[in-house]
Formats: sequence, structure tokens, C-alpha cells
Amino acid sequence: MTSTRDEPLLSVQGLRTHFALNAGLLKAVDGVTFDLRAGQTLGIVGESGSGKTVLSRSIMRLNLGNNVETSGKALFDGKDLLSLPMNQMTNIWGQEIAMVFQDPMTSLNPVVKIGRQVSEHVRKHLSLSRREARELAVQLLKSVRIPEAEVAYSSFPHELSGGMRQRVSIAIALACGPQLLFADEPTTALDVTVQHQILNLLGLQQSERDMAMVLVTHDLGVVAGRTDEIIVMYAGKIVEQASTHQIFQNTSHPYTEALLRSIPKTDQPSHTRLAAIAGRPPNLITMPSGCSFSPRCPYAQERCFEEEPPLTVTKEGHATACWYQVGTEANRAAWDKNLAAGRPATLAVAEGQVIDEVPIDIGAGGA
Amino acid sequence: MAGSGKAHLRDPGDVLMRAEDLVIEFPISRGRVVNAVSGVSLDVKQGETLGLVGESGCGKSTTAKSLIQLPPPTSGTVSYQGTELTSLDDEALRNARTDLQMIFQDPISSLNPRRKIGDVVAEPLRVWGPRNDAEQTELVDAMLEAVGIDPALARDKRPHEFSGGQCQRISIARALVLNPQVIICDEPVSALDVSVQAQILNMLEDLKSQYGLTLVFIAHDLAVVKNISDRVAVMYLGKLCEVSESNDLYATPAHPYTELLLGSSPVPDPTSAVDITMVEEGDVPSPIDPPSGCRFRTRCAYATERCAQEEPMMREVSQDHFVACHHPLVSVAETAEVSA
Repeated sequence: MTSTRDEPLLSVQGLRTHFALNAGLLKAVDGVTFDLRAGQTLGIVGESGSGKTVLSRSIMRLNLGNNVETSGKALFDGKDLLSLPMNQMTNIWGQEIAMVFQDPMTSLNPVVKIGRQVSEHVRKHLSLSRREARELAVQLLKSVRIPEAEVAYSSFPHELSGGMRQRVSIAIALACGPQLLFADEPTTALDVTVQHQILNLLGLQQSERDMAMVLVTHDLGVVAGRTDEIIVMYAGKIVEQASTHQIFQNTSHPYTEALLRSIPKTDQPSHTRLAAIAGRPPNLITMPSGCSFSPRCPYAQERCFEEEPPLTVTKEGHATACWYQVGTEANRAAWDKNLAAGRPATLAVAEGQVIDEVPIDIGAGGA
Repeated sequence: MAGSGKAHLRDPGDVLMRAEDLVIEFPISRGRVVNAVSGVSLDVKQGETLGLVGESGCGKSTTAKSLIQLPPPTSGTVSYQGTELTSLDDEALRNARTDLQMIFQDPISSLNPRRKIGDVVAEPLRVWGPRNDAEQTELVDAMLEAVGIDPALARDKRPHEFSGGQCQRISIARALVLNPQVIICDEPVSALDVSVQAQILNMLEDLKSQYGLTLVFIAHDLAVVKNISDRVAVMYLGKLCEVSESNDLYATPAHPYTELLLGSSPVPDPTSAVDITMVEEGDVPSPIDPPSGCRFRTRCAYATERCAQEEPMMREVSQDHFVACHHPLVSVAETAEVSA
């Protein structure tokens, strides 16, 4: 590795991934820029359709098909992953950057024994003998806390539980000691107790190996205690980016605020009315003009429907794309104005109503 | 933990639905059986929401489905408004089931992709409701409106034209159209995004008060269950661990398994420290050959000899708070009537 502690390990610049569909151009990822340093953990949070999975797959060059257009840069160790020939990419996969996928049943091969799936990788990249590879594979299975690793080595994926299968995928991902690990919703298919174990395991392995990690999830609870920095995505763009502490304590984008409010929490009494977000995420082909969150935003003003807010960064490195950031005077004024005008999205948050469809043509401040 | 007993059941006269000693076994090869549910007793009062929570494979869905005899339990009884459902013949059961409806986890696969929304929601009426087409349409429209779907726009569309959240609203409309008493919600929000999840949870609360519904709500997310439930039952490997009024359960969990679940549940607060060194090897034991005594003992930090030999029974630890554990986490001094 040539990069030092100060240089980012991964630097993504203006990444765009568009899919050309019959219905039009789907802008799944639309201009994403971020840096990740060695040994750090980055959380990418967003609802389904926000582009978080496409983003990580674009960096890994896993978006195949003739209708995909990817532009921008993803510099890893001085190389631009997006323009690297595929045969060089295969040397990066597994050895330098690895990935853990959401569903361990579909990411493992159902007709190949666990042992071969773990050691295949090691034999190819580290050119070990069959015996050495077997020993290493069993070691790896032990390191991800699989009980009776020898037995698991000669089992098929269907013989293991979901949590154990996900441990196997992690063992495979860690096999060649990558610098960077993408974990794409690694625990979404799992029970809370198993999720807790898997996340702890990832964190433990990460600190042992001094590996950087990108943790993609829809659950703000998952990233809360486990990441250094968080990116919140909405409709293919970054709407807020800051240190984990800042995101939670000093939330500045209305979408992040709304997400945090809409989660039921165990320290609230039963039957607490949840602050639901009105409407639903926009169609990525026919995006609203201006800010993409404006139709659902309780603070939206005329400007929000017309002009797209840029991502502005404060001194502390807290980036937000919003004209009326949460916690500012302008934000409070916008809220009062919308409330007085009876704008549906504002009322929905104020009174906890359920509003499914917010008309897109809602233009001038409600009414 | 994970014990039997009926101490937590209330007076049969006060409850709408009562299940006693439910046992559900599924035969597999070589004469073995999967012990999906082993002696679970539950009751629900009129207008109450009962939350059922536990890991996958603990039998929470199987228990809830057996309440509407889908399938009937291997043994045990289910009474609804004083009628014993397990002894009804097919026709009488079909009649009784109009009062008991269900909402499923995956909203998209629970709607027939080839049928129009209007027909999907009208289907129960075609079987049970008024024969008159105009009346049916009126009822369907009213239901769709009640769940926040514009009937004029939706009636002639098919499920693929709707998002997951909207499909779940449509399934709820279908469940409500026969004006049922009890709705069994089998993880209705697990497949939805958090913002949509909040909309559906709020809506279920509204519909519940509007139509006087009684809910049995299954989920694996503890915060979701707490939000919607009046009373929560925690299940593990086919047995009940703890039953309590929901605020009390979360404030003072008495069962080690409840404590484990609460400790594992992710908290959206970066200041709550996560101890990443806690990586246990344990896995849920197989329901084909469950552990003796307390079924949770293999994963329990407090397990002793006694837990392997003797199955704990449900007992009251405080007002309306019951636990099946030999070593509950709350002071046992309160449980005056219990002799060791």
C-alpha cells in the first residue's frame, strides 16, 4: 500500500451511475463524492431506491449490462477503479477490496461445500497448496467464530443457519486480507441477536486487521455505534455527510431528521405516535425539480421546488444539501410559514397524520 | 425459561380469544417431529394489541396462524368468544373465520399479480358479503379510502403498479372489508422502509380505534412491537418466556432472553456504547431435538443444573408481568406466592 495515513485509501469523485431504461434514464447514483481513510468505517444510509447499493457496486465494478453508464472516478491506491481493465479488476477483487452481500443464501454457491468456497479464493490468489489452503480456511472459519469449523468445512450452505452462512461469507471476504471491505446490508436478513453478533464480528475483524469498511444499511441504529462517518443518501445524491456523532447530535438535513424521528424506539412509551414522513421516495426517472426531498419536506419553500441546493460544508466538515437547514432561524421560519399555510407534508409531521400521496405540483408554499 | 404454565392467562370471561396448551408439531423423515410450538397459552382482550416477539424459528408465526386454525394445532384449544374453534366442523369454521383476518409480511407476494386491486379487495365480499355489485363497490371504495388509497385511481390497476407500502395498505383493506374482530398481523412492516413503516404503524393504530379491532401483532423488531402493543409475549424455541404489559417489559425485563434481545436491538444513538468484543458462538438449538428443561439454557448466562432438569413454569413477578425462568432478573422477593 503506497498511501499513507493522511491520504485517503479510497477517493470517490463525482460518481454517476445511470441506467438507460425504456421508460427513460434512471439516475441511480448522481454525483457522489467522498473519501475514506485506511482503517476507518463509513456508513451509507438511505431507504430502498436511494442508490446506496448501486453506489457500492459501481465502485466494485459489479454493475454489468449494456445499459449502464458510469462516470466519475474511484481512486483506490492511486488507480482509478472505474477505468481499470477488467482483468486487473479481478486482482483487486478479494485481495484488496472484498464485499459481503445481503443474502448469504444467494451469495454462496448452494452446490459447493463451504470449505472449497473459502479456500478457492486463497488458493488462487495466494497460490497455496491444497493442505495449506485447507488449514487456512479452517483458521478463517474459526476466526469468524463458527463452532466446529472442521465440520462446517465439509458442509453445504443449506446445512448452516442464516447467521452461520453470513459468517462464512465474511470468512471468504476476509480470506486474502483486503484493505477495504464493502458490507452491503450484511445483517438485514438476520435476527437482532445474530445481527448483533455479525456486526460485532465485523468490527472486531476490522480492528484486528486495520481494514477500512463501508457499511451500507437502511437502519440508522446499525450505524450509530459502529461507524466513524456517515453519508445519508436520498434519490441518488448525498444529502448529508458528517461524523457519526454530528449526524445524530447535530442533524442538519430535514430528511435525516425525519428518518431519525420515524424510527420507533424502545425508550418511548407504547403507542407513541410516530412522526411518519409524508409521501414516498421520488421516481428516479421523473425526478421533481429543485431539491428531490422537497415534496415530502415539512420545511420546503418555493426556492426548494425550483433550485437544487448544493452540498455545503461547514468548518467542522459537516456537509448538507439544504436551503433551510435544521436548527437554523430560516428553518424555523419556514416551518411556521408552512404550518400557517396548511401545507400537507408539514401538517403530516405536526399532527402525525398519514399522507401517502403528496401532489408533486404543490408549488408555492402550500395553499 | 421458555417454560409452560398458564399463570399469565386472565379470566376467560374477560378475553376475546384464548389459546391453551397449543402444541404444533410437523412430522419430518424417520418418525421425527419439528416441535414448532410446545405448550403455549395466550389470551387477548377485546380491543387489545398483543405483540408476539422472538427470533426466526421460535414459532411466533405458527402460533398466531394456529389461532385461526391454519393449520389447526396438533393439540391444545383455541376459543374465540366462547366458541371452541378446534372442535368446529369445516363449515362452521369457515363462518367463524370471517371475524378473524390476517395480514402477511410480504405485501407484494400476498396480492395476486394478475388481478385488479378492486377485485382483490372485493374477493372476500364475493364469498361472504352482499351479492349486489353496487354495494360491493361502495364497501371496497370505503375501505381503500380508509387506508389512504384513492379508489378511483387504484381500482383498475394491478399490484405491480404500487409500492410496497401501498400494497400493504391494500392487503389491510382486504383484511378489513369483512368487518372482522381480530386481525393477525404477521410481520406486516418488516419488508418496508422506516419512513413507510411509521406510516403503516400509525395507520394500524387509527384503524384499530376506528373499527374497534383486536390485533395480534408479530414482529422481530422490539421497538416496533413496543410501539404498537399493549401486552407483549416473548417466545423462544416454541415456548413462552415472558408475558407482560409492554412498558413494564421493556423497563424491567425479567427473563434473560428478553434482556439478550433488548441488548442486541440496535439503538439509533452513537453515545450508547457497543461492546464489540461480545461475539458469542451460540446458535439457536434445533427444534427437532430441543434442550431439556429450560430451552434457553444453552445460551443463557445464568443457567444452572436446575435449568437442565426442571422446566420453569410461568409465574408472576409483578402486576401483570409473568416470567418462566428459575433465575429471573428481577427480585424474587416480590413473588411471594412462589415457593422454590
